[in-house]
Amino acid sequence: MQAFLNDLALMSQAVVFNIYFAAASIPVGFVLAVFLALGKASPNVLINRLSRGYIYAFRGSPLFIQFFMFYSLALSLNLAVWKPLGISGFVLHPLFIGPLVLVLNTAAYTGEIFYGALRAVPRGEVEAARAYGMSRNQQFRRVVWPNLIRLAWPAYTNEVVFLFHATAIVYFALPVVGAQADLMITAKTLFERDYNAFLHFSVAALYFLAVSLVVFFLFGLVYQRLMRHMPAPPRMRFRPKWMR
Amino acid sequence: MTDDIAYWFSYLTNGKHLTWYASFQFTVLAALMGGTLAVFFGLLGATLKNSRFLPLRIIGTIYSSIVRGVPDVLFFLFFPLAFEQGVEWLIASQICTPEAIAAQTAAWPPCKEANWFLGTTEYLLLASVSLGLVYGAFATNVIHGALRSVPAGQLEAARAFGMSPGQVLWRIQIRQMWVYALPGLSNVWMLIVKATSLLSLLQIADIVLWADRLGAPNFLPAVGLVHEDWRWRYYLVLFVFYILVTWLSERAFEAIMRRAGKGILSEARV
Repeated sequence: MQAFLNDLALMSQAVVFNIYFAAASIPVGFVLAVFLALGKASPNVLINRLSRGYIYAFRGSPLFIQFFMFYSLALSLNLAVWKPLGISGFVLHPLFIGPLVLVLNTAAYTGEIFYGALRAVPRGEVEAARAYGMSRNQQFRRVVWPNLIRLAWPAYTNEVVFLFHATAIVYFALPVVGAQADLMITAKTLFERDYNAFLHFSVAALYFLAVSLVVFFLFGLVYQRLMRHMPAPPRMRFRPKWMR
Repeated sequence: MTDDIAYWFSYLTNGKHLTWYASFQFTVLAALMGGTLAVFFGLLGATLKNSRFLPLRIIGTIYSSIVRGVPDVLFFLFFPLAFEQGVEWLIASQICTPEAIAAQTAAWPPCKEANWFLGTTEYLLLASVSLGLVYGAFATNVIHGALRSVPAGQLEAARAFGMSPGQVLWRIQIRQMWVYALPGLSNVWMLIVKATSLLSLLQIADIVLWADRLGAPNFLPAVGLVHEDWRWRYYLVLFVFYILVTWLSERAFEAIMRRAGKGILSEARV
């Protein structure tokens, strides 16, 4: 029991890094994803091909490889670019390059979600907006976007939780600087100390579960707010069926 | 020109490169075994979830929600380690003498004789099982949904023919379920393919580890090929490799879908 509490205390510092990686990459990825989705739906051939290719490449390859690729690319550019500019310590730091790769990755996944939602926006509403004489900009802001975000929100919630889970492999690909260890590295170091796999990995899993539940709760609140014009769904009833 | 071709040919057929090419078998093997096991665990989980008996239903639900609620890499690391420790504990309970336990200074295993050395093959098997367990939880949800989208009329017709519940399940429901499950299973397969990049975490000398070794800067001709830091080029090759695998899998699943959906999906669409 004491060991469990010790682990809980140790990992409460580690979970901050996971939350940081997720929190730093989600807003930027969100904005980038909107542009990617619009690009994929664009009639311009060049923009369309580029966004399609980007989304396909980043959804079709493992995040682990993407981490290695971008980190080694940054390393090989170090002498030529970062060092002369005097920013090599900043660019090569995992706290910068981790969120960078996560942004590139989550933008592709979120872009695909938004593209799907964009195609599901009711045609009639867009046509009505055009009939009212709205400009393209107004159409997007007042009709397409509110529809899109409502359609995409549940899938986007899932993507955010998966992104949070993906932060577990950041430090397997990037070097750990000093005591800046995340949940997985902390669990692994503790495991290598006393070989108690069940305790350490379970505590790490517990933290991941807890944060995922908080994300689900918060995004659920936002969804309720987005859907406030709809009639409330019926309340859940507790009616256990012991034998069917 | 010919010199260049000869140089690059000898560069790419260097012994270390040949080992790298050979290590692709680990990735492919882990993906195939993991995929098969995932479908197996998925069927098992879906059957548990559909069970008439509450405790089994709870087990199925807990399996699919807990494993999906934690990162795949956590379970991927945890399962082989826990399995290894379990086996070592079992061996220790049989062969360790009190003196040997007293002589052991390390925290694990209990005595030196109980140590179980895991080679690449063992780790590969364990990695496949843990891939199957993790993605089986995803497949559980897919198959659970697919079982419920088999038209009720088909099941009623089967019951009207006098089939027992087991016969209805095996001969009608699971036979017809695949068409509805395929799109979801194709997604699970893509996840498994991407998760095979994690094999190097279990000390398997897979494509990622070899790419790192081959790309590392080297200026001594005696040690190997001379070049500066080329790691990003090797990782770019892997990046393209995984995209190609994804593309091929998509085409394959499309073909299977067309074949399996003959006569069923057009009916469902009407």
